[in-house]
Amino acid sequence: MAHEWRADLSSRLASLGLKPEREAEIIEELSQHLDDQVLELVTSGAHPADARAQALAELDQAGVLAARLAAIESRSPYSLPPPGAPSRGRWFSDRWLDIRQSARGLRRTPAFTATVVLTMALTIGPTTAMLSIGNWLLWHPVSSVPHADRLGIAWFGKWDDDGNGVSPSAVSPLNLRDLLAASRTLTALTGFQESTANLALEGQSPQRVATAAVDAAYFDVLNVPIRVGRTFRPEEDLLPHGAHVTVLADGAARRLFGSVENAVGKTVLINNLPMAVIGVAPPAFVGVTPISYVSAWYPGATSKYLRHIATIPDTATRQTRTFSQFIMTRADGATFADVQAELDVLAPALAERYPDDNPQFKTDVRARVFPGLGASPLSRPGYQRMVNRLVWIGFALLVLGCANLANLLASRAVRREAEYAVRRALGARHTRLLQLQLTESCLLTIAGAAIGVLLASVLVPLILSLVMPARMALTGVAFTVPIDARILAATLGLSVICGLVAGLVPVWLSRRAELRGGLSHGGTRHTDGRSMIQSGLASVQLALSLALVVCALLMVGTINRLDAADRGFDLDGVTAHYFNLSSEGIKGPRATAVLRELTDGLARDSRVRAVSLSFTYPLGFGSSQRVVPRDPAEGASLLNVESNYVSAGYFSTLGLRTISGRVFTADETRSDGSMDGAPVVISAAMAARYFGAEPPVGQIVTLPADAIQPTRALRVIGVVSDVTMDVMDGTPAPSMYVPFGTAGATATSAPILLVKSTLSTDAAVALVRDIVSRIDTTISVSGNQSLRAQAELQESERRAFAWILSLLGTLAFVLAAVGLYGLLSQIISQRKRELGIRIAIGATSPQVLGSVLRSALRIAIPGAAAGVVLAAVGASLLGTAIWGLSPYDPVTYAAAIASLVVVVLVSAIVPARAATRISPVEVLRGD
Amino acid sequence: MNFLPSRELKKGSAELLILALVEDRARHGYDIGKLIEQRSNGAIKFAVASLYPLLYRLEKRGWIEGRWTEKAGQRRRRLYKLTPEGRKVLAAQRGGWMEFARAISAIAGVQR
Repeated sequence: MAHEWRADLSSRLASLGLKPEREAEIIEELSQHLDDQVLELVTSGAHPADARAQALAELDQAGVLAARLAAIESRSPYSLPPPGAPSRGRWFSDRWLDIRQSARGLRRTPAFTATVVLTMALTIGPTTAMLSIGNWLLWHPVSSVPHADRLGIAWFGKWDDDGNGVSPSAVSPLNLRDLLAASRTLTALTGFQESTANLALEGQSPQRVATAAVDAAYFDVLNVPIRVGRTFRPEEDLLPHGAHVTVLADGAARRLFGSVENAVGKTVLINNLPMAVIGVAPPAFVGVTPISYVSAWYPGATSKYLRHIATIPDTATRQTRTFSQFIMTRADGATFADVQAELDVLAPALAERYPDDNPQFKTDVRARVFPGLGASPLSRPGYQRMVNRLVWIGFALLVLGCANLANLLASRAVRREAEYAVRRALGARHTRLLQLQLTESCLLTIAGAAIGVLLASVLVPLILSLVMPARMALTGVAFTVPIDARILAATLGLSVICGLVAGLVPVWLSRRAELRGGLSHGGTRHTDGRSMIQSGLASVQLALSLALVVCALLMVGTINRLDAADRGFDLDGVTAHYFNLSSEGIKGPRATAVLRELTDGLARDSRVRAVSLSFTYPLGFGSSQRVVPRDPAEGASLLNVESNYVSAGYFSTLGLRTISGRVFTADETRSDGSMDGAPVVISAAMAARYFGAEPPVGQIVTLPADAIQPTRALRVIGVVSDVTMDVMDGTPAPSMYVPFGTAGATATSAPILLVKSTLSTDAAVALVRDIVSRIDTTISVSGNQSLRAQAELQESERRAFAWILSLLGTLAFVLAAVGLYGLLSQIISQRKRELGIRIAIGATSPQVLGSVLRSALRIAIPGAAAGVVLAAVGASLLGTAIWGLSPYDPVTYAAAIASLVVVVLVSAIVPARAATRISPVEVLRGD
Repeated sequence: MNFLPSRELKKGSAELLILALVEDRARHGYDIGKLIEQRSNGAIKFAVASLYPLLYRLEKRGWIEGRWTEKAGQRRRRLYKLTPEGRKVLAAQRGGWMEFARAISAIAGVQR
């Protein structure tokens, strides 16, 4: 009776690739089974051949034998531990098993998985990006500086009362030597001065770049390893004459010479003067502040040479000085406060010892100490405000994201109650379930964090280009801000903790739950406590979203009002261009001739409507002049007015309206005579302030005498419309305009050229550069921008926050909507029986819809109320960033609440419609 | 009406059935399959493609132990018996199934 089954069985096992002896065993065992089966069939009357055929057919009906044996016979140690199975004691293989099982479970719920991962990424990414930028702006350390905590900036000068402005006062090396000798809190004061200069090779057009004059010890104090060549020697930085040597930045060396090695030993032109390249800095070093982007360093003693100062004395005295800013190194054990207190004593002491050489220290010049390197000291308050705002926005986003995450994971855990109950019934230990849940949470966290880090790396340059476009436009260099590892760890840690708590708590709580309870209510039970927590989380999300949207709308409203504000001068069609002729050695009559040739050349172009030269302009730096009051009742106090040296075309270029009298003629502005007796044009605000109701034309404005000049009387020839330099201030400042030629070298050394034309900005810049190059190829033109773009740049920080808040507010609403949708779906699932019964006894669709929407409103209303309060707090934090409307503007708040209502309705509509489609029959049958 | 257990139920109970059948005495695969069919009145039938992979899996876990026996004139047969570890697993699974069955019947019973 025994049949040879080997051939039939071998063919079915061939694909397994088993060892011969194992295959033989399986074949033998299955052969015996088939024999028994055939025997039974034959005994019951079947023909032997039929019995054999039937046995073979049953053997492999679905062709699954080999597949199932493959899972067993392969060397995979990874199989699911069944319920009740004790641990095999292999930790790593068990964890790998958990990972595979969790990953499988997450793949089966792609929508949930994607939502959680994205939520985490959107929480970690933007928050990390913003906090990293804030950290970098304020506390960016110069690379590889040992004891960086001991470094700071000491700045000597005449400080404004509010400490936000300074007239720098340089300190001679002799004074510094004495200060250091007497100091117990300082070990070094290393001078540096960052500015701009022209850099070029012989025969090339110059480019305006950032440069820095530094003490010889600068690179050593900052521990910057020079890439190629060497740094300055002390003898190269000795006043009154420094050596004509320079250290180039890595980027500048590559741009000029193709490689850093080629640069050393070559000659470059700085301000049209030859300087030998002695070294190249490492690529990571760009200067003392994170946005310095210095292209060339040179010894401080060489500064006068580079400024084309013709007469330099051969000996250095206490009057021979270069630097007002110093990198200070405080002594071990001393605090920055100690240093400040000591300098406040030592500096006046110098004045006592050398009264003729240091009178400034006795009166109003003092040193201020700023801890740490990083942002320029005067910029730090502004950066601090920006950073505070970024931090608050980041924090709000983190809380919102964590709330969303918690809600998503808690909802899922509730739905899995039945699964937990069954697993425990079949013998799965509680710790085993916790391990599985922990593994799942970790997988989600890792995926979310990975995407979050990618997102942060994309967002950092984007946010930076929004908040600091001016500097990036000037340097043309993209900043690289590293993602701060500590910040990433903090945001990641918070998100992970939130995710773990939300995922593990329900599992932990289920350990005492009865099986019957878990099975009967699994996925549907909604305890009051848990319900309140989840609804609370959804309300928190809505509240934070509303707050972000309100702040965004306030910022957008501010920007719109700023754009529409009348500044009193034309922004469109006007471009500004900057020259520094004195730094190129062009002074006196030569400078005047160059400027005349330039303006005449531009005026001949038919596309140019007006051209002007001026010392400054409304979007540039402020320049004030004190005038003697007319009214003796005002006492002896001098009045401060804005003043500017302008050419004849200034008023038409900027579109200033002549109210009475006239403006300058070309001859009047070209005359380089004395200011005394010169004509002056005043603004309407100054006319009202200075002359009251009296007609100003023909009257005299008196400038007081000072150390250099006697009293001067200027004759008013006209009154023009006001210019508002600070739109947010609102009140136009009294202004006076003096002929350009009377300023002498003050105006001609670094004039502003304004061009009103029909050309685009690029075309206007090209035209100016073309004319300049025909006059003198060594003159560089920089700062070329339209006034409209400059005005927008000035508001760049506000625009950036408007943009960031709008994006984040939208994002927040999306996250809140997702969370609300999930929660409402869960509520409907729990109320399925109730709703089914109500429909069965006659409830209509609108009534069911209404019931669901009421559930949504019960979550939304507290969220909206809390959101309004949070929005008011957020608006107060924005502070002066808001302009033109109240931080509590009712229209803005109403618009945001309306958006919230739309979001709630959109989130509720799908679950609500699902509720109307509940079949009462199915619900009741399920009972 | 005969109750036909679903594929999921069979999957969940298969190991328990096999462990229970080899608890008292060692049996070979055909014997195990026939006993399951007989004692369930035909409700549960294991095909060869299901039964023997399951036996090999249990053996690999160390819950049952197989050994070859030989009778004159016949092929060798492989008999399976329960190991001490298998006894513990059987006890745990038995308890779990009993509790599960009680819970199911309690729910079904209350709402009848």
